[in-house]
Amino acid sequence: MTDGPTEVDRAGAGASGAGPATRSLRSRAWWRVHSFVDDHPVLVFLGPALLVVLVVFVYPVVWMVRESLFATMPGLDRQFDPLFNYERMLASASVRRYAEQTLFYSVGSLALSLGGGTVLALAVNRVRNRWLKAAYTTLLLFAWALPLAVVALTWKWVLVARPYGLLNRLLLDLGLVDAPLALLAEADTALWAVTFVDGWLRAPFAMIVVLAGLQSIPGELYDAARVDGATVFQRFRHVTLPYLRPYLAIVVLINWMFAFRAFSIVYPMTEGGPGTATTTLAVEVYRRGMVDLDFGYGAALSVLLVAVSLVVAAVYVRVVLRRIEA
Amino acid sequence: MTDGNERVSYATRKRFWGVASGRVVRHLTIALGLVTVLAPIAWLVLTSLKTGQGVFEPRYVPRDPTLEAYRRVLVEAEFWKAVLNSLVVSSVTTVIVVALAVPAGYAFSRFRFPFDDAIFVGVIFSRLFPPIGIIVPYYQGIAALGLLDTRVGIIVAHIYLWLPLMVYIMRNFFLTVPQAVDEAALVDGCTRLQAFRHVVLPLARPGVAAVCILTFLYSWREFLFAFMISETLSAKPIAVAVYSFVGEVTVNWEELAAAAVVAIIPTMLVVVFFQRYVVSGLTAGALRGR
Repeated sequence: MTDGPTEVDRAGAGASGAGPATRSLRSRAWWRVHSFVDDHPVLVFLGPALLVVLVVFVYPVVWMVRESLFATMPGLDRQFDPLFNYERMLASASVRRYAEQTLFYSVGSLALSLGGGTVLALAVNRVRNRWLKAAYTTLLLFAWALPLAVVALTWKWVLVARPYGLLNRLLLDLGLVDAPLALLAEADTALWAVTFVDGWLRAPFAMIVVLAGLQSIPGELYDAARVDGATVFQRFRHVTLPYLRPYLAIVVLINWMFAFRAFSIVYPMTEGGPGTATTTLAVEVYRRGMVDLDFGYGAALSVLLVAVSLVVAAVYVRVVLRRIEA
Repeated sequence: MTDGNERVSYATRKRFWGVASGRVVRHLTIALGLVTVLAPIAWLVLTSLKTGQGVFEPRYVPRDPTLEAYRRVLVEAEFWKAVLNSLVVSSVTTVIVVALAVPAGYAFSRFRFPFDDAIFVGVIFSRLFPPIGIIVPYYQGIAALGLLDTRVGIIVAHIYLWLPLMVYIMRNFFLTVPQAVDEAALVDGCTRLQAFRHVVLPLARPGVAAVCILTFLYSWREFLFAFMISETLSAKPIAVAVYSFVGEVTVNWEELAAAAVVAIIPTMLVVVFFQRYVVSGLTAGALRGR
């Protein structure tokens, strides 16, 4: 019995729940595996995941940055010209408009998801009945759980500019309009509509995070504030809000960042139209890279999108990891 | 004494009105939220039960509800294949991502090693990186490997999309298991692998469940990469297949609705039965550990 860990003190192993493995250790090869893991735990536990991330993520990123430095246009010889695509991009008036639309879209979506999510979280948090609370959370989570294309197409069907679209049916029946509204077909309203759907989709996530924040507030604080005669608003302002601030910051960062790059709602709903009224940067990247096959330009646009995202990501990492050094 | 009594009754009155008005506002708010979330879904279900001309009638509830649209979509258009694709892609993605992310999260929660913080921040960044930024290299890489229009191609992309996030979530769950637990097991003579497998992992089981469920849901919902890589029903997941009903000029609404209902049923079931894990996973994925 020189197989090392088979000498495990049975009582001790039983107490910590390690009993069953002693049998499998009989075989020599198995023992080698175990001692290898003991010697190189990081390699074994982390190595495979890191390797996979390198292959499926880091390599494509390097490819993209390199590609953005080459002048490639359909019908043109590919040559190294680092600024070619970036100059084309910055000179283009349409890119500025797409950037503005993206900003409108992401900020509007954030305002809706943050506002709606916070209000819902405050309401759900106060529901006493545990079963009811779980039921509400589940039903509200549906908006988050649906496949993205289904969300987009369902809303397209709700908003469709015919008397048989749900919204128009309701408005006509209530006598609020005389003719169906063409929300998705008019340039003015289409951007509002897709922005609304994006916010609708992201509100449950905001609600979940804010709920976690609300549950972190000690109940005694409210009792103390009540005894001091604080009104509902004062309690919210001086007890709830300070505790909620880091959670709200996280919702702002994540929901804004993800709305800024969003593709999967706008594209199935409008494909960036009518015209280019709902073309966000992400839709433009897709169109340039995958439809027009103007890879260099698409890559340059991507670098722009990535740069903005990474700045936000850096802020997020600071917020989330403030304690990592400790 | 009377002063004190008056204060109490004032406070009680105030409290009563506060509670009463709060309750009304609260339930109205939730009701409004529920209507906004559920009305489009209900509309989808109602549409899927209509036929041909029924879709264009000014009615909310179908005159004679029928499952005809489902039969046409699933059997005639062979969308059962898309459902199968979705199941295969989401399940395989989940198995691979969880198998890689659980040990990796454990490593980040336990060991100090060179550049550990830098690598960890790198993982977070790769999770926050906009996927739209690398669709072209992805498409070309997948094409070069001959994986276009295959489930494997979609699975590769989904591993990229969700692995870093799940590593982060698992690390946060492992941080809730005190390091002293591992140490006790090691002192008792366990190997590192035994300590992980038989002592720490059982304690982190809720985290593993959350990561499984989140990965499955994310993979099922995903549109961009699945849309880009798949071309035919041999790879197309149901969440992408619904989009194929959108034609150049017209949209076949009742069939689209039927396909969409098929696509959302699994996600709804998962949310209904595993809501707790979805919530804990989303929370652990957004907030810091500890």
